[in-house]
Amino acid sequence: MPAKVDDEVLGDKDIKVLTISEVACLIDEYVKGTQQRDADYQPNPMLVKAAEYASRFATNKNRDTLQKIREVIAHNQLSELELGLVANLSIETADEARKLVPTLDDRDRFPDDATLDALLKELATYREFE
Amino acid sequence: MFYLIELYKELEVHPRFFGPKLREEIERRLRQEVEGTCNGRYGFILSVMGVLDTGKGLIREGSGSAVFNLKYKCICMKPFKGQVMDVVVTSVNKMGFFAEAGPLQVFVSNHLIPEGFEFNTAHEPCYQTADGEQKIVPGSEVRLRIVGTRVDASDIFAVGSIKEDYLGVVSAPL
Repeated sequence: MPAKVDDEVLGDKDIKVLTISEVACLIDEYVKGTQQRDADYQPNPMLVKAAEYASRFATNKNRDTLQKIREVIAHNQLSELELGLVANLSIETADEARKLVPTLDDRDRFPDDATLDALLKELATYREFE
Repeated sequence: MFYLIELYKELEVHPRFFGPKLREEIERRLRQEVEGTCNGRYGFILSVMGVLDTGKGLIREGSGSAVFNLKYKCICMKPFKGQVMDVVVTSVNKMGFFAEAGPLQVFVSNHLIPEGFEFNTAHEPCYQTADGEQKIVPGSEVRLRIVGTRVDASDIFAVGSIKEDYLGVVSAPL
């Protein structure tokens, strides 16, 4: 069922959602790597804007923490989109989650607020852990 | 929303590059043609992560150039309707305010701004609540929901709303 939401949005089954922090990491490495190989490299304007946005809204910079966050969310049967939204928006409470990400308002996967809250609390600890 | 996606591209390579550096040339051409573009279906293509498969180049009859069907991985950004995201305000006027999220421009009309906010031109144009607590000025961070997107051949434009729970000003300008 979670995959259906993704299909409707992008129409492709082979996509992976990236959180803003992951994008910040990736772009940073990419630009540094290319600049090492080719000193004249200038990232295109779109990439520059994306890099600024990503570093401004990234929640943490540590790669291992980002990996852990992804594992925690994946463990909880969230679809790709829900995973991205929950991580990007640093959601704290179950009510916020249900309002901002309407597909989480699902009594089958989260019968009560406690399950959602538990997941969000766990994510919150990784965010502060820098 | 940022995605990692595998895409295909057809690239025609001139015979002068048929040498030991063919791969490099293919990658260079791919990046040059694809990075920084906007595709209606996949959104803004930000950067190519790597070429997964070049396949065998098929030589065109008559011209001698080879055509490669490339499969590559790239980071794209595409907003979708109903998505909640954080943006940075760029300009404010009495019709609403413009904001941007990386390469994407979003407009929030004053109809989709809660009644508590009033347009104020005292010092600089801004939206302000009656008690002065919250202020929307260029540089502030706002959380909005995308209510619609318009996609044309080379650009994506979105319209947003902050008239809901948990949306609105996140922080003051840095």
